[in-house]
Amino acid sequence: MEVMRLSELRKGMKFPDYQYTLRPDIIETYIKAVEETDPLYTDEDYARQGPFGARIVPPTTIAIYVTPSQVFKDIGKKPPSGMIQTAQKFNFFNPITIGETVTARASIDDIYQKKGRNYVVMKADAYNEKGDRVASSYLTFIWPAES
Amino acid sequence: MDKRLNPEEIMEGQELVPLKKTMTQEKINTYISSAEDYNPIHVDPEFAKKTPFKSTIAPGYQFIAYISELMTRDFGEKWITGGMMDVRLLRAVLPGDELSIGGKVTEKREEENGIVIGCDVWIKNHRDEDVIVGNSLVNC
Repeated sequence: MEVMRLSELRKGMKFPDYQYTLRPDIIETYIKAVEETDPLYTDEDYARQGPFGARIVPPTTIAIYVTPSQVFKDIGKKPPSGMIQTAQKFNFFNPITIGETVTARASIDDIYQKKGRNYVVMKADAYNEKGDRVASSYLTFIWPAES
Repeated sequence: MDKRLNPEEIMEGQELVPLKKTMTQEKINTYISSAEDYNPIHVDPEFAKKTPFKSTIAPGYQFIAYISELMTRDFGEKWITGGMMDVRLLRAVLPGDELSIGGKVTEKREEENGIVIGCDVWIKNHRDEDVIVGNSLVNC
């Protein structure tokens, strides 16, 4: 796969929508990795009687799907190695239940220079199967110097 | 769930009870297998030795999730339906790092739809260095 170059990115640039399913096996692995123990995410009985009527995924799970690797994949590109995440903003609006398929809509929110480094802000909104927005992510990272 | 904080009783200046975590290579490998994003800086010790960190490092998203865990513990479903976090990542997290994840209520205000709670949030390592600093908001 070809490496994405900074010169190919523009502020406001939109990427094709892509979908992903939050399969139980992925969620169990994610929960184990981040050591989440809250019963909203881990206890079927508690969750069934809780506010959402079912187990939901930790809202930060969408992080798996809003990385540059995922966003660039559908246009046949991969990010350069050496990118450094420097900031992250999340807004959470609605729960995502385990097994649900989510649609992600990503764009370049900003590109700027600071102290000789190039920064890129990638925005991604995630929508559930009903079309409701479940979360927004703003990922800021340093784009590595290109030869 | 009785462990949640009651927004009516929360006071400005109140500290959230910290979480403690220890990062390990096994946890990093588990995270990477869920994310399917095989950057060698996270999983290949030989490659990582040649980087400025001289070690593998944890993906930022892996420890950003600890802030969300703290907020879920204290605010429950309100975090899921009306939470916001805005953080800066200041330092890498290496296997063996012991992390303290904390927060402090800086703002409480009544709005039409309920109470809004603002917090400073942070992660510090065992050398008392800031790893993450930022803030969060919850519509309760």
